[in-house]
Amino acid sequence: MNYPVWYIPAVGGSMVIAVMAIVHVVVSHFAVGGGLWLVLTEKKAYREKKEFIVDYVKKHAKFFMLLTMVFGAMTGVGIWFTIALINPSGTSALIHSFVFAWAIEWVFFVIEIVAAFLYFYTFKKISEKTHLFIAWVYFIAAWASLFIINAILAFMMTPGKWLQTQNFWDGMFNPTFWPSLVFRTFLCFALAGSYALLTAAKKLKGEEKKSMVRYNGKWILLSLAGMIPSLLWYYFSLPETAQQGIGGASSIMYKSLIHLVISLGLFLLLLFLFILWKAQKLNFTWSIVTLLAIFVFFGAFEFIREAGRKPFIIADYMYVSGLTKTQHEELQDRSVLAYAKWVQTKEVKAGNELQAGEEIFRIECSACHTGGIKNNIYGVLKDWDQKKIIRSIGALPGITGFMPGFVGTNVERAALGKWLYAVSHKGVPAGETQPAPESAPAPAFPGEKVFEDYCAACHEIDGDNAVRPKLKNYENIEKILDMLGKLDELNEDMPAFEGSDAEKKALAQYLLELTRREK
Amino acid sequence: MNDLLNIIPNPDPLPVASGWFSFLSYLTYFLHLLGVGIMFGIALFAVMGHIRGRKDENWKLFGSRMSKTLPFTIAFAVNLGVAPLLFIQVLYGNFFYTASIVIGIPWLMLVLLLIAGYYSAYYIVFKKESSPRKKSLLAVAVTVILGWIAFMLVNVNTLMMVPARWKAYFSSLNGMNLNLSEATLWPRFIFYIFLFIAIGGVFTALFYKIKNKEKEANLGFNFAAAVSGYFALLAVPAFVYFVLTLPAEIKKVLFGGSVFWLGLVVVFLLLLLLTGFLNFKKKIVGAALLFTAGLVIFVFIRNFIRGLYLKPFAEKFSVVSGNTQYGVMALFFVVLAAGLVLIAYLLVRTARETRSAGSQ
Repeated sequence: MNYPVWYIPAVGGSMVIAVMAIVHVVVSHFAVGGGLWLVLTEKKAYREKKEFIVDYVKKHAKFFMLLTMVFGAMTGVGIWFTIALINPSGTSALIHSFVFAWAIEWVFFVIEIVAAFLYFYTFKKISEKTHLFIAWVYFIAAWASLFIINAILAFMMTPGKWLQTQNFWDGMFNPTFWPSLVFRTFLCFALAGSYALLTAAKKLKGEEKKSMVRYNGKWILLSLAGMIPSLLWYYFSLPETAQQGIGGASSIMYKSLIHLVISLGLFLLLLFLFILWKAQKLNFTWSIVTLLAIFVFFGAFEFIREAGRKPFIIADYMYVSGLTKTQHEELQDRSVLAYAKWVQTKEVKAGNELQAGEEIFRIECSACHTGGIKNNIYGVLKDWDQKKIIRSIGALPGITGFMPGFVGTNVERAALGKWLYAVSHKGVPAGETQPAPESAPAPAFPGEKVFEDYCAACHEIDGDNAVRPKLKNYENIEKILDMLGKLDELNEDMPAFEGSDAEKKALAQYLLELTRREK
Repeated sequence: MNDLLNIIPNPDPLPVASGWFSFLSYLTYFLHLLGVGIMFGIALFAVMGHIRGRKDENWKLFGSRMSKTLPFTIAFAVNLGVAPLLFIQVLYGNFFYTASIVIGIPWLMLVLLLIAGYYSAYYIVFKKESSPRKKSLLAVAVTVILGWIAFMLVNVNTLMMVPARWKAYFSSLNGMNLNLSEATLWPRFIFYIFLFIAIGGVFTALFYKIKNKEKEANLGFNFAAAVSGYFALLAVPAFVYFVLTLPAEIKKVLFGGSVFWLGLVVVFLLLLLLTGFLNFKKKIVGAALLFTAGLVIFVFIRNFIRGLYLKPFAEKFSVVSGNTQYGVMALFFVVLAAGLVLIAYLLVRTARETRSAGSQ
């Protein structure tokens, strides 16, 4: 709220950064692993005195240079541009905390560029020893870049002691730094080997192809032998909430986990099939499928990591909306419009509610939600009535656990709810609920409707955040009524019950009935 | 004024005194400026070489040499731009980010264009069999893209200094804006383009002075020196035009308030004139040295002008926090020094080996 929001609701800023970051992250990891692959494969060529391997390495190096220097380096610059557009507060906090880490990384970047050019343009023009030395310099500089960037990425997920000390080194060597570094290092090697499989399948034939497919296959298997245990190490070093998310508490993380496991399984299957068994049969198409499998694996991992720190951009320090945790607490029940620098409506008045609502959406919600292709909020709300939307805004952390609580006054909450209702129910007048289809049977208990209106945004009966198990010890209506009277004391993420006494009674009756019914 | 102060985002604290970041940003911006000038000049010379090379072998060689060099220069110009971008974010991130959001869409397009331009530059080199016409067109496309990127950078750098114009954000929340109403925009851009061509020219001429045995060396040297001479001279009125379009209060300080800064402006303009003259006389080493000195002065003048623009908003500048990082900064300097030594070693060792391999 300190900065204007780059507002592209049809796409969403997070989508733009996802595209830029995925491209960059894949290429830059490939650049690190490829560095070591070039060194060791060129060495192998000299050791075994096989000219075709030198040529193979040279062709590989050309692609390598074009991909890493152009796409890798330019999308790296692109990430700077993108993150500053989409989350300027988070970017500023990171830059001011780690400017010298980035400056050191820049030095390694310069070394990488010089070494990559020298390596490619001096093939067979200088001694083998010097050429290999240049390749080592390239690899070490690239890995040093990873060392630093990994620290900052891990910091965003687990800032650890930095939250108390604000000390540079506490931030760098945070709780997930080492497991993440080891995992990413082996992943880099696996990516490099997978691409080398593709060039072997495309550029080589006969025995030459068979030998290099086997060589790359062994290279990947060794990488996986380091990568899979370090992935588990990484998992166990994650905060409990992220582990719970992966275990099923977060549908995005759980779905990503499924993708991760399936793609890894497919990758392993293809490796065993083509490397250990039928190396000769690996063709260009299957090598592409193998490469795609590891891309999906990597993408799923990054998705889990990104989702794991939500609702924060820097865990436990700054929310994705750009507010620090302290600012967020200070703003409870205060006017968010009066606080925000970049809104035109500073106060909700009769006649400007929808405009105010949209501005609140822009500053509080649009970092994650769009009306378009990513995390489309309109679709979610299209069957909700206005009251339910407004009430749910007051209980956001309870809905998914990945949203920060709403900040602002009740009037602002209502304005946001009204705007969300208007945009997600085009043509349906505000305040009206969707008429129930005539054929729909009337609920057996009036309390079922009350549950639907007040609780269902966060709770299901037996599914996500289930209520039935929670009602085990509530065997009579008095106890349930008492519990409904102090919801906000039971859980800080739950708002107090806002319905009428009659509604409360009906709800209590329905909940009591639930405890008596079998699942 | 209060209205403007209210919309300027609050800054984050600095890890070391601002003077260090100013020093680092001046130094790295100077290197970036040199890199961009060489890159842009070479892109333009590649266009000339490919067009005139259809009928003349030496021009063809010249075009081919420029094209071959272009991807290196793009890599280094971009790389050398990362550091000043980093340091400006530390010093003036709250101004810079806001301006970039106001022009968000064209600003982000810059990255895609850069990738397209860079690949086009490589295409010319690796697709040797392409027709001269295709090579010329691609070289033109690369030059136009690089020029557009310079234009975008001028947009964001001028916009960040004028918070009053940030309200354009509300007329286009997705950032479909440019800072076209800025009086200094075009003069500044034109001046930069002239400066780039002059830099590219003088360093290309210097290159051919060293590589004087190449077949096209004579042509390349004379052409690049002459172009550099003309554009160094043209940069003088362009700079004067730029200064005249500055806001009155800034002109007042520059011309009436400080003999030192006025003196620097005069020295800079004299150095440009002298560089032009030495280029025409083919005294390239002298021209390159004087030009480099002129650029150092220009970097100081540029930052002084920015300081004057931002002075009324000084309370929104980042200041050093209690939690300083001088030790980490020292580590950066050590890594930088070691990195430069390593690069020098790699270059020397490689050059020595390629030379001895060539002489065998």
